[in-house]
Amino acid sequence: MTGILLLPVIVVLFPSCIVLFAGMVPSIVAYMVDRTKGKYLAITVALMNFCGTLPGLTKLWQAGQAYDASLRIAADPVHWLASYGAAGSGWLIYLAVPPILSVYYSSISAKRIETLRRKQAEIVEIWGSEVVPGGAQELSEE
Amino acid sequence: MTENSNGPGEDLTLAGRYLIHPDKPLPAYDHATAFAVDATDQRAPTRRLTAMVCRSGLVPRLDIIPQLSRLMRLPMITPIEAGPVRWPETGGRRFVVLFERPLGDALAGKLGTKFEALREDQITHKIIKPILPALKEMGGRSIKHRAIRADNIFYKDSTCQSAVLGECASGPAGMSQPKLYEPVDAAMVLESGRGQGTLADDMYALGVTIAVLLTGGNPTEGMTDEEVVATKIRRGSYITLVGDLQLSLRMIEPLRGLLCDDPNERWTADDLELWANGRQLSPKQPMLPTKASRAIQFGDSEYLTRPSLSHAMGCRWGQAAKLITSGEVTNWLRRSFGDEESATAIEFLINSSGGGRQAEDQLISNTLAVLAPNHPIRYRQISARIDGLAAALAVNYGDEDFRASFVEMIKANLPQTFLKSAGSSGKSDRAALTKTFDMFSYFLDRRQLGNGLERALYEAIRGWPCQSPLIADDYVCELDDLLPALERVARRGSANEQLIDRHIAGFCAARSKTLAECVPQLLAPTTDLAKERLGVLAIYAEVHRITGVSQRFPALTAWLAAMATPIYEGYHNRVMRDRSQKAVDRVGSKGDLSALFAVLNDSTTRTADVAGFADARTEYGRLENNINWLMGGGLAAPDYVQAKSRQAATFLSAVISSFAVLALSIIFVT
Repeated sequence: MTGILLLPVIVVLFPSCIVLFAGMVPSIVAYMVDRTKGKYLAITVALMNFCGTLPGLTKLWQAGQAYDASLRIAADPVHWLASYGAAGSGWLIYLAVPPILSVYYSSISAKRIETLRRKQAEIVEIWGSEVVPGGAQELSEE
Repeated sequence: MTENSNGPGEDLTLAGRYLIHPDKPLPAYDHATAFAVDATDQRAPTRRLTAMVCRSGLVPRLDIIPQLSRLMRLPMITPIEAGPVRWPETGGRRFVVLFERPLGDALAGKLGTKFEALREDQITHKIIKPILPALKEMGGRSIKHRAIRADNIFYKDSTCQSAVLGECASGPAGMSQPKLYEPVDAAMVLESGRGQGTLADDMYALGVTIAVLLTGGNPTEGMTDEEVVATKIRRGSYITLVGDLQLSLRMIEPLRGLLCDDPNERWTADDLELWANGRQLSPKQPMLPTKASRAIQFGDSEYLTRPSLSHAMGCRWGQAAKLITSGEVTNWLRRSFGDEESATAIEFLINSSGGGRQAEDQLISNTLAVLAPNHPIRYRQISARIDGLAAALAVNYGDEDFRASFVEMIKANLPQTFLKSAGSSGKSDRAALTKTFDMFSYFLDRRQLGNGLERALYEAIRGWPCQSPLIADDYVCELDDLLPALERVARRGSANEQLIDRHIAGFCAARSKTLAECVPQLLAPTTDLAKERLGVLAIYAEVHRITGVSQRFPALTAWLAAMATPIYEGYHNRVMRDRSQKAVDRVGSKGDLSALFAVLNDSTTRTADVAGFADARTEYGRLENNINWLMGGGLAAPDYVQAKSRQAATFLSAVISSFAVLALSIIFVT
């Protein structure tokens, strides 16, 4: 249904679609290889990939969306480099964030535990050791 | 009646006017239920007053003191003032009744002392005629004297021409009377179980007094009390007391009338007045019980009448069951009296009696009632007129065996059975007494604090003072006296952990309608110490409300505040607990029990505490779960990090691309 609705747009903006398709191939690949729910990899790569493809599109629109200009831009190695380089940086972001986040989370866990312990102590201070489920006895033993 | 105002170390003062001198005893006026000391009226120091001090564990006749106080013109010693005073020897309170001291001596010394016998005309003119107005007036008001005897009738003055009746209000009715002065049924019972008695008892006592005065001593000298009673039953009172006295026909007449053993046939004050005015009444013939055609052997004696046998069996309780169960009694009734009905009734009792000591005792008690329906009720060591049974319990409450026997009697419904078979009391009396004993059964079935035997006792005898060991010596007979007495206990520092006992609980429930139902509920058994103490405090606060909130009891309140620690310690919230403790400390020093209770019984705070505690517990658990998750590496777990990383990478990519698109747009436009 969506393809039928997009068909007039593709017909009208066919030169832009040539440039866009040629530049967004990494995103298509990312979409295909991304098995996660939410397709975070595809989205991350596509957003950056689109940024790399956008200068080529701009050139095309400045050239009046001519068919031959679109072929020329699609064959331009600079356009390829910009599109695929941007897509690569998106892929790099996706790969680099987990180790960074893992280090970060490890570092804040101790602090969070300390905060939670302090909150528990405040509760015990106000409500007494009986507030501890299963016991005042455990606390007194400590 | 007036409360004394003296404190420790002060003079004993009654009603702010009468000084009592414990160091000046007057043994001539002592009797079994009270002892006498000198007293002074500060407004009229020349008045000769006697203070009768009730003996410990006994109560005066509070019901008649106000009435007697208004009969000052009668030839009788009437109370001037009465009330409790702090007694120096014991430190406790004693009830004191003040009387005007007679100018003349007593007609005779204590029973047993010999004196010069009075002539018949002296008795008529100096004694009977002068005291008749008092007897008639008291009869008209249904006031029973119950202390008419030779040593309690005094000459009005030193000329010894006219007599006045002695006092009768300083002890339980009839309790000070020697057995000789009591009719047969009252002489058979414990002194404490004689009940209120009747006007006929007074006339009988007057008859005995005349016999004593005519004899110049005890007319039954040499006989024991039991022998006197047995002889009265066997031969009649007149023969026993008058015996071989040489009397004129004119004196025989009132003696036969007054010493008649049937109270319905006995002379009244009106009969005596008629006689004193010269009218001749037909002399009463002694009414002796029907004799059997053959005697029955019991122990080493033989008995010819049913009352004699009943009395003997009551006195030798341990041997009675054997005689009854052997069938000898039923055979004797059938063969010697032809009384099939009584024999069948006793056979039924034997057949329906189970085994064991209690069943045996019940069998004896019921059999004695069948043998002599007009005799008092008996059960083991208890013997009392049916209307004196509760008073007997009150006086003998400290005797554990007596108490146990009484409980057995009530549980077996013996008083109710006795009332059904006895014909001595009126129908209305019987209904009232049945109700009283039903009430005893009711409370005995409910043993918790505020019910039980103690509650029944205080319900049955409205003026009986509280017997709690804490305040037993303080003569607390009204609810108004309770908190001041406890205040004195607290001031002495003898207060302990026992804030309330069975006696105080029963006393409070019996003396207040509002407390009657709630005391047992507030003191229901619980393992929650806070709840238990709040219940006690609720009772004392209610007593405070009833008896006047303007009174202050600082020592008692401080004592209760100290005992209230578990109540506010029960708060989970430290802030609430501290606030409550401060409020208790503040109120505790002011002596206001009601305010103390209001502070400790704050249901809003308690509800908020309970709800807050539940929330705090949930929150604590939630935090604990979070900590456990963090400690288990929850935050750095690969799956978690991966999931968060995907989101973070996408977000970062979106931010960068947004800036890039913005920059290209600016470049494209410019």
